[in-house]
Amino acid sequence: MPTATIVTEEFRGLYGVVTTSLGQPALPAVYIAHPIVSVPHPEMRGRAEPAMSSIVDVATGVSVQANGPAVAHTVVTTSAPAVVDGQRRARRHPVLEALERVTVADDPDAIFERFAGEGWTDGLPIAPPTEERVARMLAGSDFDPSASLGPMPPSWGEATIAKLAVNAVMAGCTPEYFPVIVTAVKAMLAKPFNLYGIQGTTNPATPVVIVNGPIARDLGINARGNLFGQGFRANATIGRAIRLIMTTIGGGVPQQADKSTLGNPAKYTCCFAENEAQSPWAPLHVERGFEAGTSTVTVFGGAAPANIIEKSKTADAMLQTIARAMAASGSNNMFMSQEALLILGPEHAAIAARQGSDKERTRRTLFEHARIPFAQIGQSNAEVLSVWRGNCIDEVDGVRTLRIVEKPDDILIVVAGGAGNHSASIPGWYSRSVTLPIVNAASPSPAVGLRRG
Amino acid sequence: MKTIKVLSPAAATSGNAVPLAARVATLEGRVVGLLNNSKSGSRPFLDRVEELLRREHGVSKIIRYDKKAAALPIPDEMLTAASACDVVINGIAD
Repeated sequence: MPTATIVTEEFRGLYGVVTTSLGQPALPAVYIAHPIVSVPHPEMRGRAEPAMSSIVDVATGVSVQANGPAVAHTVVTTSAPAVVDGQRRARRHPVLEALERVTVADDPDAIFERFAGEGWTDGLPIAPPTEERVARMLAGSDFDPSASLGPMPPSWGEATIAKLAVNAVMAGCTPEYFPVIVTAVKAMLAKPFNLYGIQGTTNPATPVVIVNGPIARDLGINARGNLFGQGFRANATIGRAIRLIMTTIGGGVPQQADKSTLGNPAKYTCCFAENEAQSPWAPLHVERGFEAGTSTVTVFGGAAPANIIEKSKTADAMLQTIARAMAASGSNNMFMSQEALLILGPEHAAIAARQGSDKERTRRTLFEHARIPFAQIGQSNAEVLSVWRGNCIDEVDGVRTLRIVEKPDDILIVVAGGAGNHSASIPGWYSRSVTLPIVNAASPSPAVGLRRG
Repeated sequence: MKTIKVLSPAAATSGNAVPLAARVATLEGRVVGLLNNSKSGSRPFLDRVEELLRREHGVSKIIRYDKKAAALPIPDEMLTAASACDVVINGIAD
């Protein structure tokens, strides 16, 4: 069906990425001034008239005919990674031999400069993805390098195992980490995660990668102190590989297809494990039906972690403060979260558990108190939220209030971090978390670097 | 200087191409769908587009679609319903 797409000037880049990926790089659009959200409605009405001739031209093809014939339709086939037998773990993969190569001076600065120039980095130096290194990355597990997890939005590049391995090398990963990355990408490509939206939005949302089960300890994925901070190779490089993959395969290039207004430091890397050893409750993956001994990856589309300091000695007072922090004015949780993630510090979790609050009761207490009166929201916001959040509005004691999510189960509780009276809210977005078991994991090598348990 | 070969991390995007739908010659007598992305400002803009399409371009019918959330894909049922249109006008904006 013919369409005419109206695009504000700011979104030219994203529109171009999408039309190019669909084989229509020159498809015209109707460009209007940016923005539209903060502009008074009478002014928006006024902007329609000068755009009309362009709308009609694009819809009727006057400005389309110059673009030549349409590109033939081809069907993209995707498949889950096939398990191949160990004998095919050759040192030289035919698949790698067929990959496009870049010839560059054998010098770290020259390699970094070339990759940065191509838009293939996050701004930090990369480990050069030589064929030998990429083959080593693949040799740690049994994935078929030619298999694809599917096309990745918004540029719909094929997320083949081989390309994931190239990015994992660049990020500084060891081969033992690779199954975590493959599983995370598979989860991100599941429809409820809405990766297309996360890549293109003005929001700071990014995939938050949470690892559960024994693999976290085996790989040294930090679950304790300085959880979101520096110092742990597995956390740093697995999360970084995810971001590089989103950029080089998915085309989420900042200021072009990635339209985030402010971004968020967690967009460089955001991967951690649940502190299962210090949790009084069943961990996330067990709540979701997996055995405690199964290792899983959960991806959650969220904003930056917002720290919550809480020094109450009673569970209810503590949980009410935490709930109010999760419902902060202006946070994603008030505007669009389909789910909300709470990282509950082990000391906070212990206070709740000692006073008889199991995980379900904790979740319900948070749900009941994580709300904000409409009176504090403002008229314009209230108009938008009445449309976007119709399922999160109710009356409490005669006061119209907005909840952070539709139902208690939409609050995810993960116990993690070290000693101290701190927890963190990771506000959600238009995205639902996805948990998948980690398959094809090779036995971890005792030589895994920087193991810190 | 000595050179080395390294593998490109970028992925091929060919194979996703779709054909361009045939354009209509004129909007006169046509059914036009207007898809509101739910961002504030989209509705008044499209209200005015609707008035002008009716008054000056002789469209036979306008069908309005309102997404509930800008950042989620269009619901399947809305996409199916849009097949009643000859042309759809949508938008990418914030």
